[in-house]
Formats: sequence, C-alpha cells, structure tokens
Amino acid sequence: MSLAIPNGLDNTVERPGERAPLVLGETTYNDITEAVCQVAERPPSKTWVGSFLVAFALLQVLGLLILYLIYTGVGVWGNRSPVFWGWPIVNFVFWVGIGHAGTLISAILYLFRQEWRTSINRAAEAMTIFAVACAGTFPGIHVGRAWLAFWLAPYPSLNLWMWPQFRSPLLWDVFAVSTYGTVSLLFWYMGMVPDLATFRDRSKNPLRRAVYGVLALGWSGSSRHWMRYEKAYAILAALAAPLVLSVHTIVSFDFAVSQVPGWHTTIFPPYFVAGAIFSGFAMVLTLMVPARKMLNLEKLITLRHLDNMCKIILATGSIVGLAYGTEFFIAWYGQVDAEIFAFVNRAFGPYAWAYWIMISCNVISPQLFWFKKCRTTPWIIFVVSIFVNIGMWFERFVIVVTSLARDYLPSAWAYFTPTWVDWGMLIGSFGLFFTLFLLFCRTLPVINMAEVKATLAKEHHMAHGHGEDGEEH
Amino acid sequence: MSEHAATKLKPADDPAYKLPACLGKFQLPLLGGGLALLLVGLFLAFSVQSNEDVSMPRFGFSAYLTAYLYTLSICLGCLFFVLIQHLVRAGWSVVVRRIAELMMIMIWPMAVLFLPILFAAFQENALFAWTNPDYIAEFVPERAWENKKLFLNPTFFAIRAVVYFTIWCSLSLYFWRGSVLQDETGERAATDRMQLWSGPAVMLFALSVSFAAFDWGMSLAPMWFSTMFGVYFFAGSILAAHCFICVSAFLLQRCGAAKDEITVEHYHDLGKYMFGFIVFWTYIGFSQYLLIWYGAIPEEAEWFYTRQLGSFAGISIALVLLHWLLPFFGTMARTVRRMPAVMALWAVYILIMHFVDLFWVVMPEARVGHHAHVGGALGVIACVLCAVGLLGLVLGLVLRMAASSHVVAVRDPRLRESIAFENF
Repeated sequence: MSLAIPNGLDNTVERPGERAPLVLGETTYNDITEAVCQVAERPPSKTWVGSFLVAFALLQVLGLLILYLIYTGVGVWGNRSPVFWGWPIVNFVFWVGIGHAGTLISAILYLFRQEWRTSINRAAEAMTIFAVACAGTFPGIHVGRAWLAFWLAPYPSLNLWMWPQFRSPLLWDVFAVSTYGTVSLLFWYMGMVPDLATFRDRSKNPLRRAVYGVLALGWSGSSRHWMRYEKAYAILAALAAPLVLSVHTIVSFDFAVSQVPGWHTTIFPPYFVAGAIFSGFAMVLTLMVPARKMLNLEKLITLRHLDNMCKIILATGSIVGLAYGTEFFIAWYGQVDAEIFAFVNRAFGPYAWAYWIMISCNVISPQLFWFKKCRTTPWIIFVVSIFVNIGMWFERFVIVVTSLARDYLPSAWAYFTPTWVDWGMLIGSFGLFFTLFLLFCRTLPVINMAEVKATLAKEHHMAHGHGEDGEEH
Repeated sequence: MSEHAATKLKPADDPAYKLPACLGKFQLPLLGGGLALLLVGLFLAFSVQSNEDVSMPRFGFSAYLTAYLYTLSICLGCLFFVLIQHLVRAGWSVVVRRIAELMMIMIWPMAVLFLPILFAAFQENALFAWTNPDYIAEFVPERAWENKKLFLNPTFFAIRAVVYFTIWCSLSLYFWRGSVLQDETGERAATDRMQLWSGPAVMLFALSVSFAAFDWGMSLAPMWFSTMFGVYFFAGSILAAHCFICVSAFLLQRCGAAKDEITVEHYHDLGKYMFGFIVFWTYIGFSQYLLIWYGAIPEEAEWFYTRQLGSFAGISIALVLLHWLLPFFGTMARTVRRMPAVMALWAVYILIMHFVDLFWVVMPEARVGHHAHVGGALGVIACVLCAVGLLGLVLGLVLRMAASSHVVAVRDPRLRESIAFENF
C-alpha cells in the first residue's frame, strides 16, 4: 500500500498566503479508495479480533446487569437519599457530551468551510451515534420500571389519562436527545451513500453486494445525484447545527432550572455545550490516534488534523475553565450562603478529590496544547485525550453528587458510594460503545472517500495556481 | 483555485485603498457634531432628575454609561473579530479586517472617555447604587455587604478598570501596528507573529470582558448576579461588530474604495455571521431569562421583575420581537445576504436594536425605588443623543485614523485569497 508512510512534508506548518495540504504524499483518487476500502475488505487483523472480543464481553456485562437491575429494582445502584441522581445520570450526561463532536464536525465545521473535517467526519459521526445510544440506555433504565419507559413519550397515557409534565426539562430532554439521535443518524447515513455505492461496486461476494446495493439507494454518481446530494447535505447541516447546541443546553436545564445550590446558575447552557464539544473531541482523538496507525490511514488523517483538534480541545477546555472560575466568583459575589457553601464544599469538602481530578484533567492538562510539540506528538495527544475523558466524567460526577449529597438539611447529608453494579454498568457502556465502533470499522467506509477526493482535487488546483504567484514578499 | 492565482492585486498605493474624499470630508462634522450632540444629550440627561413617583438621581451618568457601553461594545467586538481572524488563519475576511482594526484601535480614546464613569464611581450615588450608603442600608443585608464591599468599592473598581484598559489597549495596539506595518513592509512573518499571539490574546480578552461586564453592567444592581452576564454582553458586542463592518464596507464601496476587493461574497459571509450572532444573542438572553424565571429566587428574579414593569415592559417585549424575531427572518435568506444595500440596512437596524438592548440593561437601574422609569420623552431623547453623539465622535476619530493609513490591509499575504473567495 503506497499510503503506508507519510512523506517528509510537515503539513502542520502553513505559510501565510498558502494553504498546507490536507492529504499527504503522491496520493491519487484510487489510492484513497484503496486505503479506505482495505479497512473493511481485508480479513480482520488480530488486534481487531482481540479488541472486539474484549468489547463484546463488556457489552455482555452491561446486558446482564440491566437484566439484573430490571429483575431486582434500582436499589442495586448506589442511589440513596439524598443522592437520587447518581451514576446513571452522570453516565447519561457523559455519553451525550461525547456525542457532540460528530455532528459539530460534520455540520458546524462544514458551515465554516473547514475542509480538514473531511478525513475525520465519518468516524466522528459514527461515534456520535454510538455515544447517543449509550446515553439513551441510562435514563431508559433509570425510570425504575423500564418496561414503562415509553411513558416518557408525549401521549395521554391510557392507564393514567395524563400527559407528561411539559414544563419539565426532563421531558424536553426526551425530545432533544431523540431529535438529535435521529438527525445525526440521517446525516451520517446520507453522507455515506456515495461511499456505500463504492463498497457495492467493489464487492465480490453477492450477499455483500446485495446489502450494500440496498443501502446505496441506487446511487450511480450521475451529476443529478450529486447535485441533489450536495443540496440535501447543506440543508441537513443547517438543521443539525442548532441541534448541536440545543441538546446539551437542555441537558444543562435539567440541573439549572432547579433551585439546588451549585446547579442553579445561568452560565450552564453555553458552559455545558463547550464541555460537550471538549469531551467529544477528546473521544475522537482517543479513537483516531490509534486507529490511524492501525488502519494505515496516516496520509489521510494527518498530523495537521490532530493539531487542529488539539487546538479545539485547548479552546473548549479553557472555556470550561473560565466557566468554573466564573461560577466560583459569582457564588462569592452573590453572597448567598447556600451557594458559597456549595462551591467551597466542592473544592474542599468530602468530594474535593473528585473536584481536583476534574480541574487537573479538564483545565490543566489541555494547557499542554499551547506547545506545538504536544499537539503533533500522537502519544501525548492520546494521553491528554484520556485525561480529558476522565475529567469530563468527573465534572458530571462533581455537579450531580456534591450538590445533592449536601442539601439544605444537614440531617439528610450522606456520602455517596457507588455499588459494583454502578461500576459494572459504566464499564459495560464502554463495551457497547466499542463493540459498535469496531463493527463500524469492519463494515462501513471509515473515511468519507468522496469528500476527501474533492479536497484533493481542490489542492491540486491550488498547487498549480500558486506556481504563477509572482508577488515578492 | 485557478481564479485565485489569476487575481491581480492593485499596487499598495492605489487610490482604491485610500479613504475616499466623500467619506473623509465628514471627519470634522462628525467630531464637532458628535461632541455637540453628546453635550446636549448630557445636559438634558442631567436635567431629568425626578418624576412624580420615582426619583432618578443617577439618570445623567446612566445615560452616559449607556452611550459609552454602546460604543465600547462595538470597539471590543471589533477587537475580538480581529483576534479570531488571526487565530483561525481566516482568508475570507482580509479585505474587511482593516475596518475592524480601525474601530478596535478606538479603545484608546475610549479609555479617556471612561474618566467620567470613573469619576462617578467615586461620587456618592452618582451612577452606582453601591456607592450610596442609604441604598446599602436599606437593600443589602449587612453581612453580605461586609464581603461585597471588598469588591464593590471605588478604589478596587478603578484598579480593575486600569487593568482592563491596559489589556485592551495593548492588544489593540499590537494588532493595529502589526497590520499597518505590514502595509509598508509586506512582511509575511508579521502575520505569523500575530497568529502566534492571538491565542493568549483571546484568553485575556475573554477574562477581561466578562469582568468588565460584571463591573459596569451587572453591579448597577448591586445585589443581582448572573454568571451568564459577561457572555450576554459579549454576544451583543460581537453582533454589533459584524454589523458595523458590514455597513462600513458598504459606505466605503459606495464612495469608490475597495470596489473590486470587497465582493458580494463578503457581504454574504458577514450576513451569515450577523444571522448567527442574532441567534447566539437570543440563545444567551433566553437561557438567562428562562433559568431565572424558572428558579424564581427573589434576589435573582428582581432584575427581570424591574424590567417587566412600567415602560420597560414594552421594551422587554420589543427586544424579543425586534432584536430577535424580525432580523432572524429578515437575514435568513441567501438572496437577502447577497444584496449589499439590504444587508447594510439590516446592519444599521441591528445596531439600533443593540442600543435598545443596552438601554434596557442600564437605564432601569437609574431610579431609586421599585418602579423603573425611562424618564419620559426627555429621558429617551437624552439617552439617544448621548449615544449618537459619542458614536459620532468616535467615528470622526476613525475617519482621522483611516485618512492616515489604508482602508484595506493592502499587503496581507492572504489578500489575494480573500479577494478570490467564493461561497459554495
């Protein structure tokens, strides 16, 4: 495979007035097709099989624990008075947050004409959908009687003759997350149609050919198809862009509309959205840094792509840091005893360990990305991205647990301890996530071939254009 | 792109890059007229002292503060615009960046124009209620004030203002000089340097602007607090900056400057940003309102409650309809965004609504007692005159700066890319 080793060109350097290439080497259209298709067409590697077995085993853990939970009741969790929102909600918010990068990359970066998104959007969108699936699991089982979870849907239930409470942000969540999941899925699938047609055309096995044939919706690559595709893509991008903001805004409302000290603060909506993008990009990096190596995609997912994502991590991490600081300052400035107590308790109370894990992972560790060396060294990026994942889980833990564990009545105060089921379900949700992601790598085009080719075409034009640049600088 | 390389650049001293005479001639009228209007406005504002049932001892300085924040927010928005273009290595915006740069450097005169506000902070009950011992005794719990006065006292207020202006003046000077010197030398490395410093600059900007908003907007109601307030002020500023750039580009072109450089594509992009920031402003404003309304905690809700009574009730509703709904639909269509004259009109309209927004933030706090009052027709006229006057004065200074430099960053290495840029 001619794409295995990047050539010596450093595309993280960009001379003002010129644009650095996003695809490296003497790459042709055919090289791109080959590079992407080989991931799914070759027999699975040992690494893939090994990872899949581990992930699938963890998924079984999740499944069995859900059965155990339904059979026994939510008492198997550590949720006790006064912390009734324990890990299930922490995990829900954590996974929804991760599900933000994909649609941000495909919709918002598309509207901003950021062409570097083309090499990473497909995998990021897939990751989004899998993360939303993980997220959706938790509220579904947290309702207690999971077989009645459909009561969340807005209809006048036949048993109770009641509608759900429309003034509750928990209901808005049902709408927001399901809309987001649906639109992300549509967007992902629609963007994949041309590439599915490539898979169809290359399939030698008739069954594979038939399946990809159905999925490709009769795509022939005619200019009429392309025109409609581009139009639909732009419209979906414009529709998906506000959704990226709305989902985590509404998740933040779950907390902020209440009067619980530490939850009720007006900066929550934009701060949650920034945090979601932050954690989403961290997860993209956690997956992409090893994947580009293992799947031989280093010429398509270049150091420049990693560099850009690290900058987004630095920016959003700092926004989150600014929000932590603002909350703390305003708690003091407002001079409301309960608010001051909530924040001092976070930083110096019984959960101080969690708070400082959050601060070090979310605010301090991304500051490494001020240095270009750190933004372009894959192992450092990988390590920081793991830290950010940990930090963002702890952020939700700190918000949910510290405020509830110390409510207005000191006699009700208690220390929250998770049970083995809490642990098992958190780990098991990673099983669900990685199982889906590994299956995706083997069955669907991991990189948007059609868009990368378009980027390549543009760069070839640029390269020719700049030869004539006569201006001296 | 092939057309990109084919774009021929005019020489740096081409008249198309100079401030056209038909705009330059407004320099003195704007300076003189602006100052006169400001003085008349202030005179009127200070004569609005009280009404039958409300006393408004803070009206005069509040009117000045509204006008001041209005102009300053445009300058700060422009500073942010410049920083962010460097940070993301933007190509499309190079032809309009100088307009933002001219406005951002006006932070220097704005620092001088801050002196009356600083003066007011040291006077009892002239502008900030927290300078009024009677107010504190009546409305602020004693124990809270023990701590709050560590922050809300004239000396520390002044120190903070010095810090903000040091940051903003240094940033605006650095990026102004970088860009103007590049006009002479055409040095590519200048762009690299500005790119390098834009990252830390954005961080300093975010921190200083949110605290400035707390100091100059939020602290007018000494017991009120909202963590979102800094973002709310920023949202209005960045929206106003894009509108300012759009209308300035249009005027420049009408007078014959940068005719081939600024194209319909740039209006289209500015239009997208204007639309986007209208939504952002609404998102921030709505979230702030919803959370406070839903929580209904007296110390927070009081701020909105004041704005739901009397003359401000109408303004609150007008903001929803006219600052969001109307421009939201008005600037949504691609066809509209590609009509420079129409976009310039929308830009002026939004700039007016931005004034209404700041009026709504500042003026209800000018009263003493429970019911906010706009101060009658005289009060409104006084506030408008102050704002128009102060903005006019600053625009006069902008023209003065523009006359001694260029209206386009003539030798920016990405100028060619910016001219050739097309929306897909």
